[in-house]
Amino acid sequence: MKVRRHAGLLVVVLLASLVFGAGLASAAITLYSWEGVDGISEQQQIAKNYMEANPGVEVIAQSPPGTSADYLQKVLTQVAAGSPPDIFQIGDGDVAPFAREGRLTNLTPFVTGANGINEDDFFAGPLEYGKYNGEFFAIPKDFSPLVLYYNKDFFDEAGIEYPSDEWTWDDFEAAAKALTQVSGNRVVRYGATFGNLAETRFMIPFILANNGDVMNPEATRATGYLDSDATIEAIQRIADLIRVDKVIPTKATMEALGGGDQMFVSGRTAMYFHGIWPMATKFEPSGLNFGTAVLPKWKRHASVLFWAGYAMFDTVQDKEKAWDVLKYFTGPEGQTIMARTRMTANKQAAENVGALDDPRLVTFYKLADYAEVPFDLKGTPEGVIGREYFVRALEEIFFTDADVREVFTRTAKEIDDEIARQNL
Amino acid sequence: MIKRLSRSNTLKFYLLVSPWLVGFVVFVAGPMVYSMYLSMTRYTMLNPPSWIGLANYTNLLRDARFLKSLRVTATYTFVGVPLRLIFAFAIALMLNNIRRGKDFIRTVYYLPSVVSGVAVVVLWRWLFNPEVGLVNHILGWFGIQGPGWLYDPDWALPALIIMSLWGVGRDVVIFLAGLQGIGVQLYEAARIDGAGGWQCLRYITVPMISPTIFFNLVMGIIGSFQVFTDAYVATQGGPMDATLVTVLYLYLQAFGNLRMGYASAIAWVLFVIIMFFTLLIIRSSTVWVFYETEIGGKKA
Repeated sequence: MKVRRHAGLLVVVLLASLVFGAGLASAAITLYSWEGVDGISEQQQIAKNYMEANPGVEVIAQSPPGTSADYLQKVLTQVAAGSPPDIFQIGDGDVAPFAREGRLTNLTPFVTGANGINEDDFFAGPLEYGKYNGEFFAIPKDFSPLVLYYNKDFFDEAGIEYPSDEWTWDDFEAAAKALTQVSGNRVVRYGATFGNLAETRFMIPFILANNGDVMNPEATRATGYLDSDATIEAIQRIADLIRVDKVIPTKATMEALGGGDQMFVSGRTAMYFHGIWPMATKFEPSGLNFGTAVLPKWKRHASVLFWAGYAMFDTVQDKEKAWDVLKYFTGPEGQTIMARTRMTANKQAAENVGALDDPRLVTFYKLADYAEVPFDLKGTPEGVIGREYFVRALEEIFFTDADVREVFTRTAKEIDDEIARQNL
Repeated sequence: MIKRLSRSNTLKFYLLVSPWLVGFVVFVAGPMVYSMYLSMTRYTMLNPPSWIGLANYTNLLRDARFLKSLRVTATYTFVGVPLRLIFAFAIALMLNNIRRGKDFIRTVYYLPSVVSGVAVVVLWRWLFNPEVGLVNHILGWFGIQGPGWLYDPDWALPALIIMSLWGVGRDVVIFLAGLQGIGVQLYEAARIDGAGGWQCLRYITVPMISPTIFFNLVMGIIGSFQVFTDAYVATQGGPMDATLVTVLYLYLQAFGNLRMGYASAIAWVLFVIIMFFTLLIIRSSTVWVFYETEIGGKKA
């Protein structure tokens, strides 16, 4: 009897907490991010600032426990369970699939609405990465282009002028050869190093710069693009610098020397292609005398981004309210806090932290402004297939010394065959 | 009276096993049935699954990458598992004949199995580095120019198989327990009849330990077909899909391409394959596995 009464009480308490909890949850705007302690504390600061400016609105910024690799899994689980967060950090590759499934709120009406944003307040490149079929489904949070780091001391020693905005690939090749140092038959210093070789976004800017591409502009077909002379030439010249001239290390050598970041810090490479990530955490603290330059020009300048944005699920009840929070996080107030440690798409925020007057940082912003959306982020299912095959083609070239023309010609056909087979 | 007692015992039995039963139904059987259903749907997790019948399965049969992943997994299993058994058996025999310090050496061999998967794989990446790795360094002593290992499509899978020998300690301990269970009198009798070391091994040790070999074989095959961490951390399936094991392909389809239905179909095909080989081994065991209780059974 006694037990039963207690059980009844327990049920009442549980029910009450459920109802009460649900009431609380629906009042607050939840924002999810994959970032670790530093990144999430910035976002919590922004949430706090927003709540102070907008009393009565609660914003909860959090990152689910576990590694960032588990993040997507956790978000998907929440979606499947019917309780997704309101706003969430989304990777460049996920915007199209999520939008295609109809689960993201189309933000275009909000962008152009009364409480909208002025697109001119943003750098053009990163804004494009949040679009699917020409409509906004995410607004940029932070990103990085591929940039050319160079060690100024080595350039001074060799009497070579620092890379300028008009530097061509020929200039780059000449410098890479001149800066390579060999002792016996061992390379003690490489002319240049790629942060990654068999990764699409480390190679695409050079293909685009040579007026080549992996797929057609609509990202539905590979023949005529991946097997074009322009595309083959771009990768051939990079491969030759590794195989023939030996002024760029293979992936195995890179790993043997502690990875690209470590090679740049310890002077084992004079130039280094990578994103912004190691700059503040590794390069600056090391006291290295280095500069940054835009990617060398081929027939034109080109750039692509590694990108993250904020998107809103379609389940959000009060979309106006959530949009206001999203706008604040991606606007000057929120972005000024984030721009201290990463790149922002918001021009005002970039100015506020002096990024555009910083000779190193300004390069990144130049590259961001003319960044293009690569084939695999254009949101077509064909692009997903193209990406899978393209990665394997790059691995074949960089890991087995295969003939570039043969590999790309064969792969272009394989991609189109697979697209036809899947009946897309 | 007896009936009543047994009924209350039955009740107690179910009460006591109920945590396991509930756990099994909720966390194993339920999800399995659900994944069977999902395998016949198109499901991105973003929207409710939509029924597409057997389309996922028929697509799998024409999916070159999936078929490649099966070949990779089969090679990994049918080369790796026998190798590991032979290795483990040899080490166990050695340990069994050591008089002093056996416990210590046994611990040393078992120790690697305790270290977590990812850390071990990172360690092996260094050992296999073509330029500064220990493996090629040692090969160099014999004038052998080592291959590119994880960077070479022809050598990446062999490298993963060699890596899998790292966990041999668990099999060693089980073999050792089996070896210690063999009665000394069998060997003594054989010696008196003039049997040599090889004959003792062939006609006493191996038959007597065959249940242990059977157990390690079955567990090895099942575990090997399900390998994921090694390939995921060491090579991400590359280069050129040389190490694209089936579970890794399943993972890539599920969380890379949001094809949960397709991934579920892969899981079920893999389940059937594992089941097939497990049953095959169990059926074959009547021929080659010897249980001491069999003799007792015949006598009675």
